[in-house]
Amino acid sequence: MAGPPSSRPGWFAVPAPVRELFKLFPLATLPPESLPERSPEPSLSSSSRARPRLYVFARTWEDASNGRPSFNPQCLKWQTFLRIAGVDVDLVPSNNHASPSGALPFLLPPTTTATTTPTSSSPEKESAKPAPASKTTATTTTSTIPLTGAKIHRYAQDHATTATSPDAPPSRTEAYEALLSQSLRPAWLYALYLHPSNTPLLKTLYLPASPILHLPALHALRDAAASEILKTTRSPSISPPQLLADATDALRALSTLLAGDEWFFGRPDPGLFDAEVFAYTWLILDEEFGWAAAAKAAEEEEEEEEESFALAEGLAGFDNLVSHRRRLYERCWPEAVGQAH
Amino acid sequence: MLHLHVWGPAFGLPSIDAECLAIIAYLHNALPSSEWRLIPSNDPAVSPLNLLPALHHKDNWVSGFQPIVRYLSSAAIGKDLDEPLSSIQRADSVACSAYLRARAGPLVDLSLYVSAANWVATTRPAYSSLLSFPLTWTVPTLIRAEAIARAEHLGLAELDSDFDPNGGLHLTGRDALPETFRRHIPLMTKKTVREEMTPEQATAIRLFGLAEDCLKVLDDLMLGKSEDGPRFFFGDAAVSSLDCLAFGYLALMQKPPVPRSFLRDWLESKTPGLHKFVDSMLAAMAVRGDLPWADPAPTPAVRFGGRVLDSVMRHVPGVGGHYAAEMRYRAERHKKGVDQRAAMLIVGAALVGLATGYGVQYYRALQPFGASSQTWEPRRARTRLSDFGQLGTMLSSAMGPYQPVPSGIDVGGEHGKLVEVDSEID
Repeated sequence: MAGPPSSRPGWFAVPAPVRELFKLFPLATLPPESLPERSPEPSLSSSSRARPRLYVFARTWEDASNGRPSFNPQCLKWQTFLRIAGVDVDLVPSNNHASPSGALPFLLPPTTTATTTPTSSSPEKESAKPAPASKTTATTTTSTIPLTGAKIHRYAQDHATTATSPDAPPSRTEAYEALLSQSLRPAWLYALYLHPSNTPLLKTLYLPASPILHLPALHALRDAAASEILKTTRSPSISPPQLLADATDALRALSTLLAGDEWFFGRPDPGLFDAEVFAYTWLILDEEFGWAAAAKAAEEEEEEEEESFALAEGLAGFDNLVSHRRRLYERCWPEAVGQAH
Repeated sequence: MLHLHVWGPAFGLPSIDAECLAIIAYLHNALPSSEWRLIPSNDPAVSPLNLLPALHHKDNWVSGFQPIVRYLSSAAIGKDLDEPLSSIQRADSVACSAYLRARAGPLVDLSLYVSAANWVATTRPAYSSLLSFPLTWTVPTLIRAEAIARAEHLGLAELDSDFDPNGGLHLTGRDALPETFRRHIPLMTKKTVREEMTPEQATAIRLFGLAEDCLKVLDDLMLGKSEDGPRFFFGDAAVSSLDCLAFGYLALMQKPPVPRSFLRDWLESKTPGLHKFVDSMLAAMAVRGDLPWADPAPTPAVRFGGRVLDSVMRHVPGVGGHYAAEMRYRAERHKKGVDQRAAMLIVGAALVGLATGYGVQYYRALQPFGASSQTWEPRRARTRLSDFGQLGTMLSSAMGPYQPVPSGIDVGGEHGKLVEVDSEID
């Protein structure tokens, strides 16, 4: 209205002062930072990844480089199975955001025979322009596809140095695997994620250190765990005594199945199912894991209705499962047997 | 006397829910029918755990198949059907039950709830006949949403986007025109084979893969394969708790008259043992006489209204999820009535509501943006000099009647005027 519109530039034109301001940027261009020490070195691909890398949840870099058991049952299952098969892997501590499937673990097979890297020639060029560095990482990662789930299984079987027992009765194995995921996993999820006395443990394992991110991350984790439990148990509410009863039933069934045998299904060597059971039994009974002690938890509870969730006590009652756990640990972690465990 | 509350009958089966079917079969085989009553209450809220089937016995409420079986055997009520099993058979029974819940459950969900054609033609009418009027609009969709969430991991959500292309319900493009018009329009596109297929046909390979994975294993696990009465453990007619649970799921795969019957087709053609198993279980139940049906106690109007309100609340977008989570929290902690948390929530909701209401009112009271607004200016010119006391009055009369020229649109009369304020200049 005020002023003739024809002399003005269009609505979307940037006003001159703002344009002048933006012309000042970038104020200064800093030289590119060197990559962190733990990152894979693209230029040395053939020598650096001679061994496959398994990305898992781990507490510290030290734990991972020593190959200590992961604190996540799913990761520990595959870690154990790879050890059973005799496949040497490098553990890399990671988190879900790193994984192509959104869940850990995943396995990067070793880069074999001369992956053609176009930038191995001149490191000076790289430091001059930051763009080629990202291009090289792209070329090397596309040469090897990350493996998850059943593909890890196949990889381990293909590269096994010791025989994994081949013939398990498939139908029964599937039924007992369903038992683990249907009865034992909800109890595990409840004990770790939802039981209030284990919140400090959950903080050290999964939550970011920053106090601002802390609370929303905790809520998101708990919601995810609760909905997972509700979905598997097909019930509208979570009832801890029932979860515990189901888990105890499952452990009793496993104990009966194992009976006096060395490995499950009476096989001469451990298999994937042994690894899967071990992943739970190891963590549930691990004294260094940091479970809230049942007695201490009972004292700390202000509300009387919160009973302690005695998963470990239930498991300790089944002697053959406990000795199966010890046997598999001694077989897969022979270097650690001399130490505390 | 035991009172068993369940979802009511449908598809010629005693119940529409797998676990309810299973526990009915269990009780019918374990107890004479004089010792228990079967109540189709169709309301999970009868039990404190908010889950059907629910067993009411001497002020104890137990919900769910496994807990009820556990309760019956610990209280030594009736015949323990698992008694003749050896310990390894018991272990197998526990594992197979878990397998049924983990794998057969989602298949039933897919067939009865996720597949839109089956839901519209079969499952929803069945629920409508069980529930009374306003609940038929709210409760079945909630049940379906739960089932869809449970079957989500199978990745077959496209079964939901199903409408029969020849049904005429959702006409698009060319089909929407009357026949006489259509003749004059040249046929632009031919329907591809993919578009002609129903979602069940399009995903047939994956569906059959899922069914094969699950049912083949069940078929392998069934050890007692006699001709007339296949059972999981023994070939004769002895029934174990696993047989009951398997009956619950397999009957719901086989019996409902669904239009897209991929599960029934598979059962009939590939695993006749499982197909026969359901019929033999039904025959065995029929031999033991009629089920002891009893009418549910009439629901008080207040409670019925509460249930309607509850189901409507769960449907409210945005709020519904929080409401459901809060109700679950209260159910898990056994909270009743109004405690501090509930009071704070109610006060908080009231405050937010008030603030929103005030904001809406304020917004509606605002002038419409861009419209010209007018303000009232009192006309003070005539008394300008007389403002200064007596001297002013004298001066005013000395200078004579003086009228300032009005600048705006003069509609105000002698005491003031309306001045147009250009809001764009503001």
